[in-house]
Amino acid sequence: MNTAIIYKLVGKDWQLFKWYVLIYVVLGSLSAALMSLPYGLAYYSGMVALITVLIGASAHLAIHTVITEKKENQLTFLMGLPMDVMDYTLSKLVGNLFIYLVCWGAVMASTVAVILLTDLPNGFLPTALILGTEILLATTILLCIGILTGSEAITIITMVVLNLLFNLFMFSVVSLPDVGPHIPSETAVFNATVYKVLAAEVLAILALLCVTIYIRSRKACFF
Amino acid sequence: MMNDLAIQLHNVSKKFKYFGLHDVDLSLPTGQIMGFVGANGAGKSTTIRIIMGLMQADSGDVAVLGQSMPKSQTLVKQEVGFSSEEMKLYGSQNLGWHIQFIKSIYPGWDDRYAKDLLKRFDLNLEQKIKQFSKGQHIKAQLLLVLARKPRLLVLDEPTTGLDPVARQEVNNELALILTDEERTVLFSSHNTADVEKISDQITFIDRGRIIDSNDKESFLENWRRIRLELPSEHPFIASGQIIQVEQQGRLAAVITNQFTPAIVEALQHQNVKVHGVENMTLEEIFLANVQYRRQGESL
Repeated sequence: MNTAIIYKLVGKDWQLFKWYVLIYVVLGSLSAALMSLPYGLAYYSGMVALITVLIGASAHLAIHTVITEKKENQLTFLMGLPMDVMDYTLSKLVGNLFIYLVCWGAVMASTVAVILLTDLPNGFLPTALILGTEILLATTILLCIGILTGSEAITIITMVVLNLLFNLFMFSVVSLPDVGPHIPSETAVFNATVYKVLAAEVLAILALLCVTIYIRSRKACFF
Repeated sequence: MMNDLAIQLHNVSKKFKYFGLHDVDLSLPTGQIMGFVGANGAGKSTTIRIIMGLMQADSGDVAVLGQSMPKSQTLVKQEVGFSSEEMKLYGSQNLGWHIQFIKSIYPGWDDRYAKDLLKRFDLNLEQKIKQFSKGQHIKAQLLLVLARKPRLLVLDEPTTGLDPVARQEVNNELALILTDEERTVLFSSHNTADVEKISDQITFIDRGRIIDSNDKESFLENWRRIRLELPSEHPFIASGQIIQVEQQGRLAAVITNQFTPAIVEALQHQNVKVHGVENMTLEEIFLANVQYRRQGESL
């Protein structure tokens, strides 16, 4: 493994995407702020905008740094550099997750701040964290699919399916007896169910990363 | 000796659904410039991908700079400059950004040489790559490859798709650069004129097989077209060192791939008038070679 080149490749992707990260952080923070306004419409618009920003950033990142790089033959430029398939895969997984975490972390921090510092009920916090982590999991799935297939069509279809599943997931979480009823409460309730769901999401992310690395480790060449 | 060869392919095969490389043997001695010539789809890019460790052969051995490929690709690519026609730089960034990126990877990057190339290629550091013409794009790629001072240069169709002016500019610069330095170069093209200008060695590939490989002078000396006037209009049959015959009545033009004055003498003994012996261009040699091989005969 050539860690030096992995570091350079991650740095390159960061440079190519850093302004988009800034835009998404600003849009995400504004959306979170919109949720705190004392109007029902503002709350729902802010929430939809917040989810859209997080999902949009995820899709943009996967398509921009993985699919477009391959489609526009910039990958051929990289292939000539002193690295193998595994170095490239690791740079994409680590790099993109790092870039997304910067964006996701900032937007989630804004959301948490808005929930805790405004009139929004603190009881919404566990649900917000569960839903935010689900978007992080969906981003990991999208990245892994993009890296493994290199196909624009498959990545876009995956994105659509993940978006549909997000709605289903959201309703499922809200209907959990240990989660939903606590949303309007004044205090955030972090019970065993909340921790279990969060742990399952984090474990799923780690498992996906391991499976992707394992699959790619069996490939000696780019083509 | 393994170490005297920058590239060595032995019995390399690779099968695809509609195409395959068959038992490719290729040797490029250190310090030589080899033109790798073939029609579109002949197998040039596949061979180059295998050489670069980007694709694994189904069978056979590949060694580059004395290292086995693709196993040692990370190590080998530290010393190899690779550029291909399909390769693209990042359009949203400028050349300066690309130089900084490549420079951070290759410790042997030569700033003075890069500046010199920048001037020779008439490229602007600040200009975004998406604003470059195709010729400028290729020159920028060459700059990024050459200034890292590779021991081996692998160029896959670097002049394909360029207009004649840009092609001439790139060729002139390439010829100048290659005479400047002692480098081993593998240069693929379907354009024989480009290859003839720069190469010491030439290898022809067709339908996934290496059909001929020799130094340029040997090709140009051995391959000749002989203009004849035959004693009758009976078809003249190709035999021995004559591999191709074009006949119209009593006039014929025959091609030999092993020319010696003895061939002319032998023809004259058969009561054939020899009107002239002509040199052939590399393109003519390539076409005659391909045609002959496709007829299923061996030279």
